[in-house]
Amino acid sequence: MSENINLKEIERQVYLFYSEDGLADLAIGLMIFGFGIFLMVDLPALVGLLGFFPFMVWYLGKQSLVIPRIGSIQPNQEMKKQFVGYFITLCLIGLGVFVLYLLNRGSGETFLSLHPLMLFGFVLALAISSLGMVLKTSRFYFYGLLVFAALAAGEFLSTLITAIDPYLVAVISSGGIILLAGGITLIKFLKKYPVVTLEG
Amino acid sequence: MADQKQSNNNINLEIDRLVHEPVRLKILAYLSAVESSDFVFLVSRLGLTMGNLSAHISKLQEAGYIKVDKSFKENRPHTTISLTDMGSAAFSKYRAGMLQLLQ
Repeated sequence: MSENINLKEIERQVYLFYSEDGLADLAIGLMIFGFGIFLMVDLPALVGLLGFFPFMVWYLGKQSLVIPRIGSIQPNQEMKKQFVGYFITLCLIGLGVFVLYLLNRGSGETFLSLHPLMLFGFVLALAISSLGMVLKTSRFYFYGLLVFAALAAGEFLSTLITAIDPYLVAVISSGGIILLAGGITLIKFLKKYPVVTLEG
Repeated sequence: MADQKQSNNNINLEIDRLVHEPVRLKILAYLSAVESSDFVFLVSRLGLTMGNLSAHISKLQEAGYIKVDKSFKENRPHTTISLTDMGSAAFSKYRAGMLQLLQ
C-alpha cells in the first residue's frame, strides 16, 4: 500500500463513490436518449417515465452491483449541504428559465421564443456540468458541453434539413454517447472491483 | 538553539502514535470525510486484507477514536464505522501537530 497520504485525494476518492461506477452517466444518458426516442416515436406521454426509470436503474445498480463491491458511505454534513444546494439551485434556475420563456413567448420573435430548445439545452448542459463539479468528476463537463453542442448543431441544421428533425437526432445521439460512456465506465468498474464476499 | 530543541521535543511528544501509523491515519482520514462508512468501503479504498483492516479498526475502537456498529443487512453481516468526537479531535490535533512540526 502506498504510504502517501493526501487529504484532498482522499476526499476525491470519497466522492468517487458517487460517480466511479458510471451509473450516474447511465441514468443521465437514459433520460436524454429516452426523451429523444419517445418524442421521435410520438409518445410524449411516456416522457414522464424518464423521471422514474433512470433513477430506478441508478438505485438498483448501486444496490446490486456497486455496494457489494466497494461498500457504501453516508455523506457528511458538508456533502449533504452541497447535494441539497445543487438541487435547490438547479430547481431555481429551471424555474427562472421557464418563467423567462413564458414571458418571452408573448413578446414577438425574440431569440428565446424562436429557439426554446437551445434554452432547454443550455439548462440541461448547466445541470450536467454542475453535477460534475459537485461530484468532482470532470467527464460530466464533457457531457454538458456535448449536450449543448449537439442541440446547437441541431438548431443550426434545422434551417438546412427538413426531412428529419435535427433536434431529435441531436438529443438521441448525445444521450446515446453518454449511455455508451456510462456503459464502458460500468464495465471497467466491474472488472476493477470484484465482489467482496466476506465481512470482518 | 536550546529553546528550539526543547520546542521540537515538545512537539514530538504530542504526536499520537496510534494516529501516526499510516494505515490508521488513512482510516481516520477517510472517516473524517464521511458521516460513516461500511467495512467494505474501507477495504476497497485502502487495498487491505480484511484481517489487516480489522486489526487496525480494533486498535482505533479500543482507543475510542471510532465507533463500530455491527448489524445484519439482508441476512449478511454489515459493519458500519464512524469517527467519534474523540477520534475527530485526535485527527485534527495530529494534523495541526504535523503542520506545526513541518513549519
